[in-house]
Amino acid sequence: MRSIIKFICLISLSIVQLNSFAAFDMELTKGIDSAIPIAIVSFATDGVAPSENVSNIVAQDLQNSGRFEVLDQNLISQKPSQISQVDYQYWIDKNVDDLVIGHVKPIGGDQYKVSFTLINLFKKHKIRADNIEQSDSKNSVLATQEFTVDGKQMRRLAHHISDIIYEQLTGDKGVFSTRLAYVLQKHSGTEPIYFLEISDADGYNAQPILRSSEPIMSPSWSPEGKRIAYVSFEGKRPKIYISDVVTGKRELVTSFPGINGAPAWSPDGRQLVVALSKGANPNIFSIDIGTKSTRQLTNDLAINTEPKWSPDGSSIIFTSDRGGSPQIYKINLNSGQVERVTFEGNYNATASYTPDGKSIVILHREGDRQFNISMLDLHSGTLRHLTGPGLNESPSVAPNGKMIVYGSTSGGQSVLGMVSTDGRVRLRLPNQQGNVQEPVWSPFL
Amino acid sequence: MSNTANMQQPGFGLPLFIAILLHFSVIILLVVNLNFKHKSQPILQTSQPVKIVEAVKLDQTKLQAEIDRLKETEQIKKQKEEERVKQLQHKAMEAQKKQELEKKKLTELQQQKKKLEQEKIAEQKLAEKKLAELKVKQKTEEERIKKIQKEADIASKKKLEEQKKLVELEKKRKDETNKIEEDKLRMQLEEERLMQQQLAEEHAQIKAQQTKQYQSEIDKYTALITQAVGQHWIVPDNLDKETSCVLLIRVSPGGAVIDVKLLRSSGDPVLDRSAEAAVFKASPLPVPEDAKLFETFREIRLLVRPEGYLT
Repeated sequence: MRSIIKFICLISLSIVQLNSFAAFDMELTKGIDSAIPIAIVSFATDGVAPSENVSNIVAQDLQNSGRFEVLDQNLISQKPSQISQVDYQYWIDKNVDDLVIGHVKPIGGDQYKVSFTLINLFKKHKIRADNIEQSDSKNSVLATQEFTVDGKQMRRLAHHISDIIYEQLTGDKGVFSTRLAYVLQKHSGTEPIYFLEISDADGYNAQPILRSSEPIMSPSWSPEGKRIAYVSFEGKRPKIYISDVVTGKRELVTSFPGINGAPAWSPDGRQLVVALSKGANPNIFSIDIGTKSTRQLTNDLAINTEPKWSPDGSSIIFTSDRGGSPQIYKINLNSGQVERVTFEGNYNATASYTPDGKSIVILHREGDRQFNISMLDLHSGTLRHLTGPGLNESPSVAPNGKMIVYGSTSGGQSVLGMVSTDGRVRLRLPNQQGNVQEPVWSPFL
Repeated sequence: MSNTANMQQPGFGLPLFIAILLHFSVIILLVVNLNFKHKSQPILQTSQPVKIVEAVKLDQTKLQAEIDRLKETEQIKKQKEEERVKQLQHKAMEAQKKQELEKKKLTELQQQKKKLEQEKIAEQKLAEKKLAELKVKQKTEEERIKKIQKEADIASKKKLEEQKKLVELEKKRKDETNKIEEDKLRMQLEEERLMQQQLAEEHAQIKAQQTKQYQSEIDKYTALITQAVGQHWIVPDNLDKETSCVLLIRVSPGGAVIDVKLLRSSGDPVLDRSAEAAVFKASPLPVPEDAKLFETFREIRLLVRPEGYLT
């Protein structure tokens, strides 16, 4: 008996290799720079469809942001409107990561109940060999909401839904519910007419807040989004006004002799920083809106203009030609120290900060080419071109730092263009009847 | 038609002739057919031709012979009939006789029955007597059996003792042989141990080589899998090199991703989700086909940290 045991032990020792099921460690550090593929199913409508197609607006918003690749409607043959109707495998086979479904239900009196659901196709599901099991739908729903609106608010609601989806999937706030302000120049007969207009971020719903026979320039949104400062040449002299967007009431802020130009707001909305020449060369001044008292920030013989306040309130950047060509400089408000910021190209102007204060967006020119819209990382000094050279001007950054609106002239007409800060998308906004210039992006409203 | 010329009997001859002819031919036919039926022929026809009925030339003698023959057969028939009747009568008589016999038998049987009953009673008495005698016998038998059993017990006890002795003897014998075997085994083990040592040394050398190869294979597949997932990983915009998440991936042979678990969140759900989606989209992963190599990749702990983009 003993010998048998011995024998068995001997065999075991020579054969067995213990299998350990410890997990194998790996590291993934590089991926792809790509738009998120998403599918938006036409929202189900119970017969009566409102004048605005919500899912179309959402699809356009997301596609134009450059962060999403929206699946072509023509490639969609399934139209679920509830999560129970969703065939996950169908959408995964269409190579989308997420799915948006919804429902628009008329409840009488031009009122509608609008609901939508955002579904992540990969969240909490198991693959069994080659098949996909039924997903745990509770965990795959990233967002689902219901709203009651009337027909006139449909477009605004669609933008709001776009914001929700954008934020869920990118982690950044969406700007689909923000607005633009710009100057529109029309021609009635031989005389030009100028309008200060506000529109949705996609160019729709344009409304004038000022109409003048003299030029309007340099609009600038206040930080809370309720006022716009601008330069008006009414009375044949440039003056800086502030208009209330809602009430239309306006207030004269500066009317010094000479140039009163390029107003920009302080982060607390209490001051403006402007360029005043007072008969000489323009310098940078800050003005308390309440008291109208001014403080001179630059004092030299160069042309100093286009000031912008940093988001943290500590510095002001501006354009100056003190170095021989227009470049961007920065003045520290505490120390008064001025330092040069741009060193590439022979022209850098109309700078504005990104909301995180880490970069500035500028108009940039190299050699004898035309103007790029470019982004400069203030820390590393890296300059990235977001557009090629062209007749571009006045870049303004969206409040989430992901999109830029700018002016561009093409075919003799001045229009508005948009480009994403990752360079992925470039758009032109719907054409107005006239020349559109100097766009500025509103803050979050 | 020369035949009809020969026949001179008025009115009677022709019909009779036709009738006989018909009878004759029918009989011939029947006989011929019967002949065929009785023969069990194979499917193939014999070389013999089929019997063809031939029209027979009639003459007076033959006809008369025929008539005679017919008469004969008539007679035979009659005779047969008479015989039959006789037989039947005979049978009837016999039946009667039988009946009388049966009656007799019955009375006899009844008598017998009575007899039997009387005998039965007598037997019963006898049986009882016998039973008593048997009982006595049984008793004596039982006593005898007891005796015998006692003797048997003693005998079996003896047997057990003897068996025990035998078993002990066997044991002794076995132990002795075991000892011998153990010694043998010990020697064998020693030999084997030496062999093992040699083998082990050789193995170690081979293993060293294999592990090198093994390791490079592991490295290769690690790179392949990382690349495959990376190509599906849409890196979120905010490339924060500080944040990372850890996924636990379970893979089946062939590379199909069975399960992805978030072991440690990066704190940013967008990053976590982007990593999870990447793994699912990359399924099936490029795992090794070799079963042993595959085991390494059955469970993968993947640290995901956005540092940059694949070129």
